[in-house]
Amino acid sequence: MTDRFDAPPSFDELPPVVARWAERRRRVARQVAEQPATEPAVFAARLVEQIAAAPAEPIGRDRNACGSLGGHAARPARRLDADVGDQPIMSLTTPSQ
Amino acid sequence: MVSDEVVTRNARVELEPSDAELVSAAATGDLRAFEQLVGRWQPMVVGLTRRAQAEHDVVSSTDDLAQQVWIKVWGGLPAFRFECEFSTWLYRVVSTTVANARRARGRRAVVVPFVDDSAAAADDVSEDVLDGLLVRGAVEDLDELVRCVFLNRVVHGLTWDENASAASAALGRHVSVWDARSSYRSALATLQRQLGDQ
Repeated sequence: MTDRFDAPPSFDELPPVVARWAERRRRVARQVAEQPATEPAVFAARLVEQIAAAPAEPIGRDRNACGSLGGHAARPARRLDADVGDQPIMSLTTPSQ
Repeated sequence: MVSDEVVTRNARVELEPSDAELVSAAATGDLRAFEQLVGRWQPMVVGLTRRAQAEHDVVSSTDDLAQQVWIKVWGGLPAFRFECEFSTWLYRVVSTTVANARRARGRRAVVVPFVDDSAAAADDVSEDVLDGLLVRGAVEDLDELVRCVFLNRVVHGLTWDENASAASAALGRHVSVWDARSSYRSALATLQRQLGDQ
């Protein structure tokens, strides 16, 4: 199968600024596609292990939180993503001890 | 006469809980059910996360982003009301998570390495930032179908058939190859009008 990322991009019809933008995103697509992904069952087991081991507060559940994360239920007492922050609680790529 | 193999296979299918059953159990705190749900949907989450990473220019670990996605799902499950498909909700959580990662990066200062060719590096960084600001705004203003088809084409390099299928899946409605082609032409015309002289 041909790797579509290896095919020369046909950006001639795009304005130059859009072509540069698209080229950069293609590079990112290629980079992330090359990352090894943890096998789903292993990922799931490690994630559940982390949740079970974590203190309730940082990743605890908020019964008032909106399920859609978009806001059609009651105002969440605290946003879920504020609990998590920008970084994962612990990298799942490294097996826990 | 039904073969033993068919009976066994059907029995296995019946034993497999549905998404709704797993979601309901996980919502009450059943971690085993949640683990099954994650194992079942993780390939889709990885695929969606990688697509979103490319579109938002976020070169982080996909596993780490997926972890953030699932922690949000775990936290939000008690409030999930089955008003949409679980997969649709997952799609939204992935988009939000990756967009947040991009915004978090945007809040951090751009650091230009202090080396002899720092002027050249600064030019590269500035160009990326400027291009990003100009184009992202214009792309985000496109109609949903037009934006989806455009990104599928120029970022993900999909063929027209693949593009139509992917757009149908993402938008939850049928998108024909003709629709995809005409949406792409519309995107080109809009972007040429807005950014043709850039």
